Amino acid sequence: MSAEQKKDSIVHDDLLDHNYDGIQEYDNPTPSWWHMIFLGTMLFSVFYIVVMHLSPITRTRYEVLAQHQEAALEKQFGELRRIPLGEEKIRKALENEQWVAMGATIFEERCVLCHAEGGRGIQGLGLNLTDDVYKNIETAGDILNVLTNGIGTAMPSQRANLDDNEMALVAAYVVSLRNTNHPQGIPPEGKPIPPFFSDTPTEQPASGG
Amino acid sequence: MASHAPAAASERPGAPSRGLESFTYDDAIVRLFAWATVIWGIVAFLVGVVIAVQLAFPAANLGLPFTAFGRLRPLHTNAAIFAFAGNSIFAAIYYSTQRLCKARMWSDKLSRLHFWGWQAIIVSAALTLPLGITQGKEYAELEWPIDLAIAVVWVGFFGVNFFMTLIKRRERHMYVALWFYIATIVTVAMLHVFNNLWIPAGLVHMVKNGEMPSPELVMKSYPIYAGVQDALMQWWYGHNAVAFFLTTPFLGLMYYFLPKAAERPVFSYKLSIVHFWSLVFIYIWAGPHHLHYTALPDWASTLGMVFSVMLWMPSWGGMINGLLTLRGAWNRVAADPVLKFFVVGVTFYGMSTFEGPMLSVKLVNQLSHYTDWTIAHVHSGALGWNGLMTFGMLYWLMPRLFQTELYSKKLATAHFWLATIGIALYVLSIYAAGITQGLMWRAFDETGRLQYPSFIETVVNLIPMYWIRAVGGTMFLAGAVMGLYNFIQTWRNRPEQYEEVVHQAPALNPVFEGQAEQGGFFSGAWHRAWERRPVKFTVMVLIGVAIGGIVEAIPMFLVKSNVPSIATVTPYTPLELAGRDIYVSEGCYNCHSQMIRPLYAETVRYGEYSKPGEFIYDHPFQWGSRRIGPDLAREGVTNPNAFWHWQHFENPSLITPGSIMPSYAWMLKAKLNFNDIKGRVDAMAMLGVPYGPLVEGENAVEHARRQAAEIAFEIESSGGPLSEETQDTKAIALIAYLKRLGTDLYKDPTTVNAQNPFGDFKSNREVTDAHD
Repeated sequence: MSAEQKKDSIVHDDLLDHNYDGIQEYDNPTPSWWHMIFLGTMLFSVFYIVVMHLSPITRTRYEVLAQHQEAALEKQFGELRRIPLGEEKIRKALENEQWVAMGATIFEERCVLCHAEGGRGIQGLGLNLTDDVYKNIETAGDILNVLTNGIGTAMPSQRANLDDNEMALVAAYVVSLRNTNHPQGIPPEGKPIPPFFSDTPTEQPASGG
Repeated sequence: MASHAPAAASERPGAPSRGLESFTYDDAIVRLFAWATVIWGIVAFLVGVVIAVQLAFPAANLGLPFTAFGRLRPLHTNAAIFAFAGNSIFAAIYYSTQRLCKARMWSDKLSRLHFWGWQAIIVSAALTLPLGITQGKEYAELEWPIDLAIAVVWVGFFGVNFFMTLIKRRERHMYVALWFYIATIVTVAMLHVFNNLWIPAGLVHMVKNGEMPSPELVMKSYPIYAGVQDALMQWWYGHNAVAFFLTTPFLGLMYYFLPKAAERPVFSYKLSIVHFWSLVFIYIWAGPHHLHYTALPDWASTLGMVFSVMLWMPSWGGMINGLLTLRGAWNRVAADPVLKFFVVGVTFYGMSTFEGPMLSVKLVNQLSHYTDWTIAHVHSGALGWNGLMTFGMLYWLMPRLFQTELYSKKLATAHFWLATIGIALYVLSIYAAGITQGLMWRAFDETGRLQYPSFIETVVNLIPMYWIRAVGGTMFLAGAVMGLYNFIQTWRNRPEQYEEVVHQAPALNPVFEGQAEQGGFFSGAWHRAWERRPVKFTVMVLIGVAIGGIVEAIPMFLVKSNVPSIATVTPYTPLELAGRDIYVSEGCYNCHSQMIRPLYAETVRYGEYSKPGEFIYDHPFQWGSRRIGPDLAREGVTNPNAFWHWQHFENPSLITPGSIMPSYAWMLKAKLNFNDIKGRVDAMAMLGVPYGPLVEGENAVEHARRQAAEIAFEIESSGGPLSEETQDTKAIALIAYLKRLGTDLYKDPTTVNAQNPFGDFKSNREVTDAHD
């Protein structure tokens, strides 16, 4: 910075000959830090546009989202992810208490609007899932059908809301609710069905023996 | 006058002397605007307190249609912006412009027309908004007849009067306050016109069907823009309403009243020039920062962000010039309530113009958007900057207008402290609420699932903070009431008759007879020359403010890749359209967004992120800006149960314990005007929405009745009331709309005919004909 410029950035409080209704103005320079920061924000802007829009390392917000989704899936489901949707997947989910608990969380997010907390049911909206009778299913696998396709206007399909893993977890939770007989449960509706997993070959001792 | 010291830019001493002219200032009009400021201010603050209490205590919605939060919140914002701040800037402009121009306002008649016209607009806003008559765009809620009135009053009365006064002025150069007033008038006119281009549905109905539309339909209009484009235009407007209604005129106010009250010269003329031009040029680009991570293309979002960051210093230029003008007067700040208001007001300006750029950085915005953080930010601006500057001005102005001493300085000081502490309580509690809720929305537990999956958990947490906010707001209101009392007492001490001071000044020679300034670009000499030419100055401002909007808007309208079309997106059915209009009318957008951002925490909570092509029939867009309740973009996918919605409208807190949503039980009884649907469909068809055969005869009505019967039957079969009792209610239409939201994306493209989706519609008449 030359001496001349330095002089220019000093506050002298020299009055200009301006006078507006008694208001006068000083000929003071704009503070140099003001210029510096203003310039800094401009440089930042150019830098930001180049890095975020024009450089090869740029990832779109959709790519970032996809990466987060993948990481979250792996964290949540691990090996469960690799089992195709079906009874086997539910059985696998039931082996792990944490997965059933996750099923309960999903249930809380998506299902309590009609089935109420703990699956006790709401008259006219959702069935009691804690008793021993069922209206729309006969096997655990049927729960997946109900989730996927819904039931007429009574229950919406969850295909857009839940992925395969989440469906299996909710189904596992619903399986676990059977016969827990919620004290505030609404009256049962439907017909008795055989115990879950009773007709498929499993490694369970009961059917394996 | 003594002000004409001989110097480079003043009139040459040797020039032929022009006769002195005598004139007086019109202070009566300033008195009117000043009173209106105080009175509307109290109304705006009072409504603010009411809606603040409603959030903490939903029973305060009273279950009535016109007292629900969704209808009152626009009343609060419009009253605060256009009634309180509006009258305040008019008082400031009418007082200072006359003195800065050494000229009475050009036309007393226009001044009165402006005043009474503006008050009539405010009253019509206060009547229509609680009645649910709204365009559904934030701060542009007023419907089309009022829009027209605003354009006439703003441009025809105010603008003409102001610019003619500039032209007839007796002061050669325009002072910086006037530059800011010029920018205010031209830019607000531009924003208002381009954001309010609409088609009135009632007129269309009358012309097309030859029937008298219902009053409701007469007042209804649809913006010509839809979806992404409407969002861009709206936030170009919305952000610059803050810029050119709440910032530039208040900077003009500051530049006149602060040096007057401090009796100190303005710190730096050079800074005035640089910060004025950089501010007006940069501000206009910043709008898209309200739409980060939405379906707005990323390039526009980035422009909004970087220009907001660059806006930091231009804004601070105003703060620096204000605060440094007080050098040497700080001892007086302790004694003078006027200066106290100004110092804290300018400081709040500095804080919120630092915070604004910060919030516009995408990463910060990820957290802050849709939360109360934004509400805290705007209130530090509105209460701190606009509110305190206004009251500072009024305490200085009232004794001068009433030609007596201020009734009580002590009371004014008490008002200052009450207001400042009130703002602090308001802002701090709502910062805490905003950050808390933002963090809760994105919190995951150790299994990788949302920690607070149910939205209501994130709401009930905020209630204590909402109470503190209501207390802070009440303190601010109480301060204003004290101000009103102080002003009334001052007014009562006015003289029998106001003394009318006669001023004298020579008329300006149309040709500048002085010596033009010499110097390079950085000397500012060129600017001194502009200050002598109001018309040129105005044109330059207009060019400066037009560029940003043009660069952002034109590609958004012309380049197709900005809104890629989706094969399964079709227009709303007539009933859904009527339901959507109810959604708009009830102000649902004040609490619910319809925009899922492509962020993992959001797609997990609400479903697939929103795509630009999903909104092409949304006139107006309803993306919202705050999630007091959950997002509804995929409501039709996640919660299409009609009976659930029916019961939820009746009593939200019964279905969701802790819910702060008002009851809409009245809507389960209110009848939908099916005949109006024709006008609604016809107006949309005029905007290019492919309604095919539905625009003919009674087809739209028939289509709507059929769909209503289906939904009513669904409710009945779920155990709800009989369908005959429900199928003609407004609630059914709204439920039809909610069931539709976000579902198009999941439809099978092979079964959807997007070009002519209603092509296979057969009216009952045709069906009967076929049977014959």
